[in-house]
Amino acid sequence: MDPVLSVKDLRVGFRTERGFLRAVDGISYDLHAGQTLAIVGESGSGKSVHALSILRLLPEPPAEIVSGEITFAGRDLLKLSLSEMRKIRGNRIAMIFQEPMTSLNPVLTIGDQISEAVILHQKVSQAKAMAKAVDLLKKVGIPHPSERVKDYPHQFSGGMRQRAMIAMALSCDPDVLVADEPTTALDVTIQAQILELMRDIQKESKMGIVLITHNLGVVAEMADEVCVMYAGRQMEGAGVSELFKDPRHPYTRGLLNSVPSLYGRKDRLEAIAGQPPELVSEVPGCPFEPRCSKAMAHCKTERPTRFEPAAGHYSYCWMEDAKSQ
Amino acid sequence: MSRDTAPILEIRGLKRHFAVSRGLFSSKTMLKAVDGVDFSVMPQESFAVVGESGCGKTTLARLLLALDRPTAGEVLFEGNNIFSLRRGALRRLRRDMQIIFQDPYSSLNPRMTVEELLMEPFVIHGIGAPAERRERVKRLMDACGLAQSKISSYPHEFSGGQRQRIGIARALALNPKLVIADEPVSALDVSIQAQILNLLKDLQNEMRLTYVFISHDFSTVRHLCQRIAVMYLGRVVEMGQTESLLGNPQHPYTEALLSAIPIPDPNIEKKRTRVILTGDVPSPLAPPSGCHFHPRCRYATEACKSRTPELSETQPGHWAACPVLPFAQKPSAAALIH
Repeated sequence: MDPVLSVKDLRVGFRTERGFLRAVDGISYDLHAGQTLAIVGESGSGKSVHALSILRLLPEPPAEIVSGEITFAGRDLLKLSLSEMRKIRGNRIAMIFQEPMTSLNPVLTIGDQISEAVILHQKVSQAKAMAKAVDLLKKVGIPHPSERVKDYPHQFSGGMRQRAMIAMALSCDPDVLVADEPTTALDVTIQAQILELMRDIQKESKMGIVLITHNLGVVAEMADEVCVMYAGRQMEGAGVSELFKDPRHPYTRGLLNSVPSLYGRKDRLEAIAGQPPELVSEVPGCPFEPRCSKAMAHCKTERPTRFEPAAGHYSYCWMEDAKSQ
Repeated sequence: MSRDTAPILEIRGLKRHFAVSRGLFSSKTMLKAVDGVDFSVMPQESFAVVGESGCGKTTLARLLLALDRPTAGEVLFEGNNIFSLRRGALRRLRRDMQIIFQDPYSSLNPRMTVEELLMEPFVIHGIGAPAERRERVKRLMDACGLAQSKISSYPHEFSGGQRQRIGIARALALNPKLVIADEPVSALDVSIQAQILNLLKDLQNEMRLTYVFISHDFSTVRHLCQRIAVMYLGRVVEMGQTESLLGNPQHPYTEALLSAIPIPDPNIEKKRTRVILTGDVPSPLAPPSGCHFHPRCRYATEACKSRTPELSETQPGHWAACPVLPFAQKPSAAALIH
């Protein structure tokens, strides 16, 4: 089956006073309908910049898409004109953000904001769009939707705002949902509700989800496929069970070991020493090399290529090369 | 920690109510941020207060440090009620009680160098001659994993994790006995979180510190703390030894909180049964009657709507404010984690 969204060697950077910052430096993946691909990384890994570039929401300049292809419905999104892109954004590909408060307009009612996209993309009357907004709020589990549709964002709690954002994103039945840390600002009990809601909707609509998160628990709960990012690069990727069972890349292993767990005994966390690198300077080898306990001489100088230790499992690490010889 | 030593910190019937006006002409409503909290912390123990946003945990932290005054109740530090101390005595006491803040970005003065930031506590309390202060600053930087070459750098030159190390060094400058840590790692990336948690643990051993850890995250708390209190809408609903509380929760809220945490293991995620709470945390301005948790509770009975449950000991050292759950057949509580 053809992927619904396919990203090939995406490179995005920013022109800054201190030089060219490589925020995303060669990312490739396929997303299939009805599947969730989790992009995991820490701050500065480029996971959000990558998400914004899928929807072409980065201001150019200072941002610059250096190279790559993002194929959706047979077309390369990076080659579309702004008006063509506008027809896709919010319609075929929708996005939800981390901060439901700052991404909703405080002076418009929830109903106005949801119906806006419906009117824009589906060319229906105001009354019909508002009726659809009520339906959507009901679907995402807001009690008394026909009254709440008249509320302003400040009258909603954090969890309800994120539900409203999801309703907005779903308003045009998108094929792809890009969710950038959708539950990070929420309490755990509310996070559990929102994740359950996303799963239920996905089951019904078969949309593909690109889930951007730093939380490995959320990954384990939601993802089918995982891609681990570090300093703008893809480090490792695999199906979710495979990645947790047999992590190959030292960074992935470090990340999994540094999470405090709720079960089992771990007296000391195995922290990854050091800090992530500054992206301004060009990294010729592997960006994780300075923090890697397994680093070899050529890790500093040669960029690791893609190795596939198992079907559907890839790792950008020279260790795989050493193992296969 | 022996049983017969005196607690370093004792909280008795602590309440902090805020009068909130909802409009120009409407009467004021009481927001009961902390509403009758009792617990005590032993020397060199790590005690955690866990709860979601709005449960009153940060207000509690402010009260423990006498940064705010309670509506009722007392906080005894080594036997003295901190709210009845005179200014001078309170100031001396502040050397022994310190806080580590959540946000390493906003809690450090951007115009001071690391040296000035770490020197300040000694200056304020008039400790040591300048040369000795410099020496102690360097020792602090070593202890907290900060390179001495960075002594003249400003906070913006450091990463988040490094800044949190500065915050920790500042809190520990005066050799405190008690450190209140208000979400000290929740603004940090996981790989950095682990570094900071290990650092806090090491420092506790070296400096014989007592921690009160304020957090929303059971998994970080489990790593550091021997005992946990769970708060909901201003009240402690459950309190006990870490393993006992996590392994055998006695309050439905704790059970649901634990169940909501996604576990970083897809095999466990697929198998476990979860309790997903419906609805939001009610507004603390209008908390539900009786047990505050009853509208979201799957075990609630008629009586829960009117009767406010008191903490009672369900097992040695394990307290819960729920008359229903400890006696109910719990289908999944143990299966939640294991």
